[in-house]
Formats: sequence, C-alpha cells, structure tokens
Amino acid sequence: MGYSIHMDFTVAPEDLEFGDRVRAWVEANVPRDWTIEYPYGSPEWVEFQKDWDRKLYQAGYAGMFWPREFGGTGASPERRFVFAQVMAETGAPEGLGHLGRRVVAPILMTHGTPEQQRRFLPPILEGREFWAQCFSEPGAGSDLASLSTRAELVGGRFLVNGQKVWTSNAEFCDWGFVLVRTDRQAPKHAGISCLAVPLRAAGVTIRPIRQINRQSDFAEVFFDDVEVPLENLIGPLNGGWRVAVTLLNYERGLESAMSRFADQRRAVESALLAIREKPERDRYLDAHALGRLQAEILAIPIVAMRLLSTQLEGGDPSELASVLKLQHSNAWQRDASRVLLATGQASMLKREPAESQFLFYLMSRAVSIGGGTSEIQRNVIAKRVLGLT
Amino acid sequence: MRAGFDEEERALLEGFDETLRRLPEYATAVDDGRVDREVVSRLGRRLAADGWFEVADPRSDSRQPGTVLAGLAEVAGRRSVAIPYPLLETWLAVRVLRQAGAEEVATAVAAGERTATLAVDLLGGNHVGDTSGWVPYANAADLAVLVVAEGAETTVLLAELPLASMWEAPAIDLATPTGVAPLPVGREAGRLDSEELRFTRCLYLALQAAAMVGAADDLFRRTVDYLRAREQFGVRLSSFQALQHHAADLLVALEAARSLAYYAAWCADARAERMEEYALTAKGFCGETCWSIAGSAIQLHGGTGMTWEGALHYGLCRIAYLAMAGRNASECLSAAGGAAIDRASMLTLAHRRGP
Ligand SMILES: Cc1cc2nc3c(=O)[nH]c(=O)nc-3n(C[C@H](O)[C@H](O)[C@H](O)COP(=O)(O)OP(=O)(O)OC[C@H]3O[C@@H](n4cnc5c(N)ncnc54)[C@H](O)[C@@H]3O)c2cc1C
Repeated sequence: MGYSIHMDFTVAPEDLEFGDRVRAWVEANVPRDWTIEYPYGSPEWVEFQKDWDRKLYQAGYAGMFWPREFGGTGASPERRFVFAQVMAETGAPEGLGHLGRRVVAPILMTHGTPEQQRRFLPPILEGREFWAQCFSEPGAGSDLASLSTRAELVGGRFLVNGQKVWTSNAEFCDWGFVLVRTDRQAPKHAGISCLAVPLRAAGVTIRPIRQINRQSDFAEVFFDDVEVPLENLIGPLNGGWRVAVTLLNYERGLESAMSRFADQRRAVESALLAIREKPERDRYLDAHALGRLQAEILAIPIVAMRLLSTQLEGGDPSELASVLKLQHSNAWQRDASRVLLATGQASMLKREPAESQFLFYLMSRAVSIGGGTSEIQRNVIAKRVLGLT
Repeated sequence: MRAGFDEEERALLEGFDETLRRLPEYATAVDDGRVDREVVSRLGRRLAADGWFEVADPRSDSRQPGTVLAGLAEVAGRRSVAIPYPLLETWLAVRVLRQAGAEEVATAVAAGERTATLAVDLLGGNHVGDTSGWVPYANAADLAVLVVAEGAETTVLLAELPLASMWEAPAIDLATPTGVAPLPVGREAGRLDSEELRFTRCLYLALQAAAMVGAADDLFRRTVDYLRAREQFGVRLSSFQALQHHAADLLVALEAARSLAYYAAWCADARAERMEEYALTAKGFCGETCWSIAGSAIQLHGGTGMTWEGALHYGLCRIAYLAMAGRNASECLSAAGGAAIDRASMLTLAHRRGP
C-alpha cells in the first residue's frame, strides 16, 4: 500500500507454520474433554499430566524454552511466544512437570553446579522427575523471608526441620525445591539457602489440603530430621534469597502469564456457547461483558509482545514485566463472573455438565494469590516503577 | 515482529511534540469557549507548515502508517490542554478525499490552505437518524467531509461550512465545538471502495483510542507527581498504600489500553482479518478505561482535582468526547463481544497481514 509497515505485529511465516504444527499435534494428542474426563487433582489426572510431560518430551517440545546446551531447542523468543500462545489457546494441559521445566530448570542453569545440572536437568526434561516448590510456610507467606524451616549442617550433611504449606502437587512430586534458614543469627534475607530435598525421604510427611474447587492439589509438607546431602545445596550457602527471587521472576514471567489465562479462556469460551443459547434480547449485557473481558485478555499477549520487543532491542522490560501478572489477575477477577453467569443456564438448556468450567473458575481465584499476591505486586509496581514511597 | 517504534519514528514523535509545544497560545480561547475560525486556522497553518498533515496523505513521500499516526495522536493527546484542532479529522479527510479522487481539495487541505473536518458519527457508525451526526469544529472549519455508506456504495460528500441549517451539539469538550446538520447536505465528491471504507473506519477508531491513551497518560503521570509532592498527616501521599495500589492498577489499565490501541492501528495497516473487531475492541476498551483513569486522577487530587486551575478537566472532557464520538465506546465493546458470540470463539491475535 505504498508505505512500509513499521511497527509490526506479524509473526514470521515459519513460526506461524510451527504454531500450526503444534496446534495440530495438540489436537491429535489431547482428548477434547480431558478436563471432564480427568477431574482436577484425581489420581487419573496426575497420570494424565505425567503422560503429557513425556509426550511433550518425545515431540521435542519440553525444551521449548531451554537453551541448546542443556538439551533445549534454543528457539527464538518469537517462536517461544507462538508456542506459549498455541498451548494457551488450545487449552493444552500444562503437565505436572511445568514447574520443573519452567522455574526450577532455569534456576539450575544459572545457579547450579555442573554436577547438579547433569543430575537434575535431564529427568526434568524427559518427564521422569517432578518438582514442587516448598517456599511458603504458615508464618511466612507474603513475607517469605521470615521463613523458619531450618537446615543445620551436622556431620557433613544438612538436617532439615520445619513445615511448608500450600505446596502444589507435593504428593505427586519427587523433589522439593525448598527454602530453608541456614543462619539464624544473620539478618532475615541473609540467612536463607536453597535445597533440593527428595520428598520421598524419611522424615518427610505430606498432608493434602482440600481446596475450594473440592480437590486437594496443594499440601502441607513436614520435615522431621530429614537428611539432605551437601551436594543438594543450590546456589551459595546463605545466598538462597537471590536464587528465590530469580525463581519468583520466572514464575511471574511471560510463559506463566500466557499459560495462566488458558483456563480462563476455556471457561469463557464455554460461557460463550452458553450465551448463544439465549434469545437475542437477553444477550446485550453479556455481549458487553464479554467484549470487555475479551479486550482485557487480548491485551495480555500484546503486552507480552511489547515486552519481548523491548528485550530484543536491549531496552529495560521491567516495567511491562511487572505489569503483566497484575494485568492478568485484575482482568479476570473484575469481569469473569458476569460472563460466567451464563454457564449455569446453558448447561440446563444443553443438558451438558458445565460444572468443570465452574470448578476452573473457582481455581482461577488463585491467580491473584499464588506466586505472590496481587497486593504485593501492586507494592512492587508502586515502589519500583512509579517511585511512590 | 517489532512491537514498538524504532529510533527514526521516535524522533518523528518528538518532533511533533516540539511543534505542539511551540503552537501559538490557544488555552485562553478554550477556557473562554471561544474556539473559532481564527483560532483553528492559525493552528492549522502552523501544523501544515511543519508537515503534520502530509503524514496522512497517501500521495506524500512523508506519509506514515497507521501505527505512527496513532503515535502522533497519542502525543497530541498528552498535551494537558487539548489542542483545539480537528487533527484526526484532517488526517482522515485528506486520505478519504484522495481515495475518492477529489485531488484538488485534498491538496488544499494537506497544505493547510483549507481547514477540513469530518462527520465522525457517520464514519464511525453511531446512530445518527436523518442527521449528519457530530461534526467537530463545524463552526470553525472551511469544509466538512461526509462518508455515507449505503449498502455496497460509499459516497463521499463535501459540504462548505458554515451551514445555516446546523445546530450546536452539547459542549462536552470546550476544545472541540461540534455541530450537527440535518441531511442531506453537501455535494458528491467521489466514491470509496469497500476496502477503503473498512480501513478508514478502523483507522479512525484506533486513532481515537490512541488519543484517549495520550490524555489518560498525561493525567496519570500528573497524578503520580502530585502524590509524590503533596503532604498530609505529616507524610507524602505517596507513602499511603491505598493510593500506591490505586496507582499501580491505573498503570496496568493504561498499558493494556495502549497495547490495544497500537495493535488495532497495526491491524488496520496490515488489513488483518477481523480488523474491525480489533478496532472496536481498542476504541471500546480505551474509551471506558481512559475515562475511568481520568476519574481516578481527579479523585487522587482531592479538591484540587475539582478546580479549573487543577486542569484535569481538559483531559477528562477530551476523553469523554472521544469515547462518545464516532462510535460510543460501550457499544464498541458490545459489538466486539457480539461478534465473538456469533462466532462462538473469542478474538485471538491476528499475527498475519490480510490478503
Ligand atoms: C493455588 C495456590 C497454589 C500455591 N502453590 C504454592 C507452591 O507450590 N509453593 C509455595 O511455596 N507456595 C504456594 N502458594 C502460596 C502462595 O505463594 C502464598 O499463598 C502467597 O504468597 C500469599 O501468602 P499467604 O497465603 O501467607 O498470605 P498472606 O501473606 O498472609 O496475605 C494475606 C492477605 O494480606 C495481603 N498482604 C500481605 N502482606 C501485605 C502487604 N505488605 N501489603 C498489602 N497487603 C498485604 C495479601 O496480599 C493477602 O491478600 C500457593 C497458593 C495458592 C493459592
């Protein structure tokens, strides 16, 4: 049309083709009604998720976000973006291994010793070992640095004692990425270390907690004189806080933001079908609520693309990065219920169980709590981005 | 993919900002509700002289894509006292006139010799009955461009201003006096093909969205500055968590709005499939969101927010006007939501150019 298009949101054809291949692969490998077939948190669900992790590996997608030297694809940021988007849009499962792949592995790549990388990375990639994140404690939630689970060096090994809580999937995992206090005299941020703790070791007790979605997929984890070898220390002794912060950044990063709204998307799309069942005259409010929610959801990957571009051009992406997580939870929690109101009515009309969608909705309340609450995220934005102190 | 401006474009935006800073004084005319032909043509001559109309002229070497026009609209929107000039309307008018083959008028408008405006509701899709809908600066421009779509046919009409039959629309934004005329008015200047009409509509909605983002951005930054400066209870307001959190949420909303505005402009440039839905989404979301940001800006300024001197009203009124004009923001969201319902799936990113 005469002029070249400067700002450009196109994705390269080869990346789009890649996305199409991934989409086709997901469609061929994921049963359409898997969310109904495998109730969240049930034993069948766990097996299904683990099986998915292995499928991802076999298809070469498990290392999508990993560099080549650790067995990953070394894919370009754009290709990774497309991958994350397709996974979200197709409503593919995340796999039980997503924490390991997405959060623990990058930490090991940065802070782990070569031996630790050799020991832990391949099983994560291949879907053979699963990790849980043992950070939160009854007395240390938002104020994570006040944690009190302790590890003492006794006879050349650590002895771990204390309690963690809200540990997702602890029951089904092999390893805990555990934050412990290793120096009780030091200021609170300075006396923390990270340990890889085998969750099947003697002295580890896991007690599931029932959640509002009626399932139990997080748990309390108790450590009683659990012996952990020295070589399981990840990062420097008493230098664990910096490692933990890296982890939280990954957790709040692009891939997580993209995948987190997959559930929401699914819930909204089913509500959409519900709304179609209504007579025209009853749709007006729904159309508006949906238009708004859709706008908010659409803005998430666009912010993500802006973030990617800023990164690629060597700019500072921190402002947009801290916006991304809050954006998602704000959007969802403000507008979702109005859209979902339609679901109940439709299930009646269509004689289909809409319950699973509602259970997804219930779980999605956690988007503003898990991985750091929205209030804490607002503190961060206000102080670091806006300079409001 | 490059989801941002490059250096050259950023320099262009700064250049525009520089021109706007050096415009002849206009705030008094706005304050006095006296935005007339003289004020408007004076501003127009300066803008034209610095080449800011050519940027939208498809015949010009300095023509810019919609994304850059959106950037310019955002820059203009950021002026605390809105510039009393039909900037978006001039850009669109030049383009429409060229596409319709009305070369002579188009050239005169691009050169700043004649001030053009646009019947924005007719173009945007607001319900106008048997009127022209809103015509911004109908009292001050030389001619109005009316884009009338009937079935597959789109006629471009030109009306010489002022029109005796015209009446004043409610003064929502003092910087944008607006008139309405009963139809029919004007003479036919040419036709638009349906592709061009689609593009023009989408671009207009995206530019309005960007202009609102600019105004909201200015209000937001000024609010953050105010919170850091004002003291109560012996401490700065910025130390109160309730206000910090409010500000953080505003930033999140603002960035979401900005993202949608530029994305819609790009979709128009790229003639992306479903570009209408992106445009409606951007206009709708930016309209509702920027309006509420403006409300928060006033709230967080306390009594000062309610004063003329506090100067937040300019941005609020500009946003309110833009949210209503062309196509009502809430209706835009309903239309976008309705399209998703009809299709039984939500809108996703376009990723590729249209045919
Ligand atoms: C579904 C789910 C899964 C989780 N999975 C894991 C996991 O796998 N591993 C793990 O370690 N943890 C996990 N968590 C725990 C999560 O990280 C914590 O719940 C979270 O950090 C908040 O801590 P808390 O629950 O103790 O709440 P609290 O910190 O007690 O907060 C209670 C309320 O007070 C607010 N608040 C606290 N401090 C401030 C402040 N300074 N300013 C303003 N408001 C404040 C909070 O925002 C919140 O609204 C999970 C949580 C959920 C919901």
